Amino acid sequence: MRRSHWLLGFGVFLALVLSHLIWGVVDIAMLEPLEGVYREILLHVRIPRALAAVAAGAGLSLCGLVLQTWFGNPLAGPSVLGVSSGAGLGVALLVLVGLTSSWWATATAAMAGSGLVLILVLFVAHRFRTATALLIFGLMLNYVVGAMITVLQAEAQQDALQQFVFWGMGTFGHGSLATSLGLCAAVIVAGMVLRTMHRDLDMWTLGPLTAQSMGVNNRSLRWRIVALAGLLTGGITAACGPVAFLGLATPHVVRLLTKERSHRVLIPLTALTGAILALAADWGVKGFGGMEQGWPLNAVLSLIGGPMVIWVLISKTDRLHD
Amino acid sequence: MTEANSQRLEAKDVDIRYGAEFVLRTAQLSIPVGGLHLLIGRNGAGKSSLLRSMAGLQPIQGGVIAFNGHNVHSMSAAERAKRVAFVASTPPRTSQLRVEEVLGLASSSTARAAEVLAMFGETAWAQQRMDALSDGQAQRVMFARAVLQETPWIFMDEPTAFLDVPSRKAFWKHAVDVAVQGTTIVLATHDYEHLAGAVKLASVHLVAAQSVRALDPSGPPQGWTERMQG
Repeated sequence: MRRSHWLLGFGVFLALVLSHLIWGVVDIAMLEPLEGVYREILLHVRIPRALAAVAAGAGLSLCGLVLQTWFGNPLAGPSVLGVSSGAGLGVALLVLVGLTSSWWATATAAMAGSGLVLILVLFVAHRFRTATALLIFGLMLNYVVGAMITVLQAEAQQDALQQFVFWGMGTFGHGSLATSLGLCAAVIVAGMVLRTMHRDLDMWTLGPLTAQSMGVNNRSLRWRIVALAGLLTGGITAACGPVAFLGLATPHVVRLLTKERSHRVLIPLTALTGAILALAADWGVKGFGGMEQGWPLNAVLSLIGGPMVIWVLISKTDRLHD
Repeated sequence: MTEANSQRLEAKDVDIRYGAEFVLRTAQLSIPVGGLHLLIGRNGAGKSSLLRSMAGLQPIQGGVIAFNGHNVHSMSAAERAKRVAFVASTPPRTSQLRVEEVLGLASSSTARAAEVLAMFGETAWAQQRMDALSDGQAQRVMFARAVLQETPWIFMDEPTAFLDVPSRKAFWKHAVDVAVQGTTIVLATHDYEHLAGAVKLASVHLVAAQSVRALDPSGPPQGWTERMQG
């Protein structure tokens, strides 16, 4: 990666952040002194929302990158371990049973649900000899948890069901400044920890036996990846709802943008690209130009991410035929 | 520990089993440093399991494997990586790292990496991605990577299993070159007749009937087929 490419990436990133701070229902003139309602909007709406988008985009994309590397599977993503579904189950239990609907309670339930699934995954992970077995376990867990949520939905009151459906659409706009700052701090720490693992991740691409023979402690690497991916996904889902596709699609966008495959480069580049994609997608949510209302976050992400994954699949199939 | 013991790899009373089924039972093996050592045996005899266990990459259910006097299964992965490098039977097919990046993972010295690349005749591949190489080319890169790990021992598990005849010849030539330079190579292969015809082997061990038996390495290669059946 040339320095000019990094600068271009950071330029786009900063431009998107600024655009979210300036434009919205009310436009804010950034060069004038901020007072009254403008200051409130910036501190309590725009900045938390932009920070949440940056943290969720970077964090979920990093999860996708390491999980795709670990599983050796380009279709692995943060939801693969069932952690997103676990968060969904936590919220479903709370909202659909009608206990409470406060934001903090919802976030706590999401975190608790993802944490329980994470503990379950950690408990059984050592029983699986291969990454594929763990991948299938995660998929099965998703089905089981999904079925439990469906049963809860079938039994729920209409207003509770509506609230749960809105949570499932995902948003960057529900968190406070403190929540968003906390999320950003967690993602930065996770990114720094991942950066120290870049050589191990590169060696892992050569196969488990080769990695082990080169000094990688495979068991430790697996636990670190599962813990990082689980905690990041749980935290982000708690704050933003189950955000679709970013984790799966961003690593593919990065691989299209650069020929670099070393994790030394991929880790920071994936975080930056994920943040940019999340900020761009949030413009779809807020609504462009003359639109009165935008689309739900997960609809925007799926409309971008779905065709992207299909394109990757088709292009890889072409290469196999070549 | 005597000087002789400290300079060899010793496997004592080694049990390897999967579930209740024993692959090896109280197996004994002793390999001195230096030269090229061969494990032969039929499919399923336990060559690969023994090789992985000796490299510390697979646990054993009984006995001890001591590497220059140190129990290989008591070492950390980092400690083992300083003593033994391993070349698996299947080259990596999905890694998208460039060849020079793969070699850089084994050695921080770009000059040494370039030297080994030249020795293996791979200089033109340095910028190639691993998933763009043929199996034969990728396996040679993995061997070069093992050499760059600068360990006194290199273990290889059927490294030519996926290679055509010219690639095998090239691979064995490199193995001999590396052994001559002082690295002890232990390998499992079905390509033994071809190898034995080209190389003077330091020792040959037959893995069969849950045990390991030392054979005379100077014996005629054509006699080995019968011994494997016996």
